Amino acid sequence: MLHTISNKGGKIKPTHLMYKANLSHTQMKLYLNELIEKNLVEEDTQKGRTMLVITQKGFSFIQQFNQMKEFEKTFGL
Amino acid sequence: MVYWLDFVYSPPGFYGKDIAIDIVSAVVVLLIAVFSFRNFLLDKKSKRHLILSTAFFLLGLSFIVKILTNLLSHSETMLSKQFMISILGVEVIRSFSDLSALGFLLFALLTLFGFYILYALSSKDELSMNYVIIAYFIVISTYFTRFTYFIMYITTFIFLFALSRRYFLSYQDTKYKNTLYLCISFGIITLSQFVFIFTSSNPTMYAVAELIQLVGYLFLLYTFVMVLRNAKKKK
Repeated sequence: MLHTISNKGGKIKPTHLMYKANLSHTQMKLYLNELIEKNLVEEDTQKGRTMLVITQKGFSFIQQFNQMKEFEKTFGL
Repeated sequence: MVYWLDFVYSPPGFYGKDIAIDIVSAVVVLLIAVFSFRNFLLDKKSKRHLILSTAFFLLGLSFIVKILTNLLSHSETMLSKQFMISILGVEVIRSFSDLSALGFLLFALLTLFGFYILYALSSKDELSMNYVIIAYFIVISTYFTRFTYFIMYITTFIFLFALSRRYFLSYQDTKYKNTLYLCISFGIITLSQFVFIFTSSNPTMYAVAELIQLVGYLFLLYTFVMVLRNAKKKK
């Protein structure tokens, strides 16, 4: 989900996220709540439209995750 | 029994430089250890990150022990033994020697375990009793290192040779450039262990081995930087 939002420039509509991440509404709600709880994503409501925005913590999490994956690939972990 | 004079093969002109090389090597392995531990904190289910981190921490610790031992033994070697005995007495000198010998054995034990864990981790197999048996042989080879220092270098050479070979096979399979860099780094470190075997016959070989080791660890650092750069490029 974080990668999907990041690929959209860090901001996405909830419905777009649901389609792009290939999730059901219930699944998305569940995962999104966890991401919001962990301060990785926040909801931004402007003129009645809600957008999901990645926080700075979310961006650095993606960065660390990518580094971990590269490291795993290199060492064959 | 091994005493400090039996394994300090560094040529006097190289004193200090060898310690500097070991400091650089220690920094590189500890950097990777910390990074790997951070990865484990990110995904606690991935025990392999924790094991990799342990291996590099052991190697880092082994370098710290080697640096301290070298500091002790170089200071002893720089002053003449007779002079030291007249000032400090035979017993103090003997305890210094014992301490240096103990330091060398601890360095050997930590290095062997560190490289062995790296080797074991490069296999996809689950942990089995074989590992316990090999751990036993590591302790045995450390014991015999008391009498013949190069047993330790022969064992690390074998571990590292097998490890480099595995990384090369992995590279052939995945064609992933960073794995090739990793293979080259460990290949160079393997060569340094080979040269260390001959240090008693020619002290210059010690300096050559240390320099090769430096190149190996610097290449490992380069590989690590490449891993971070590749991650940055990813979206």
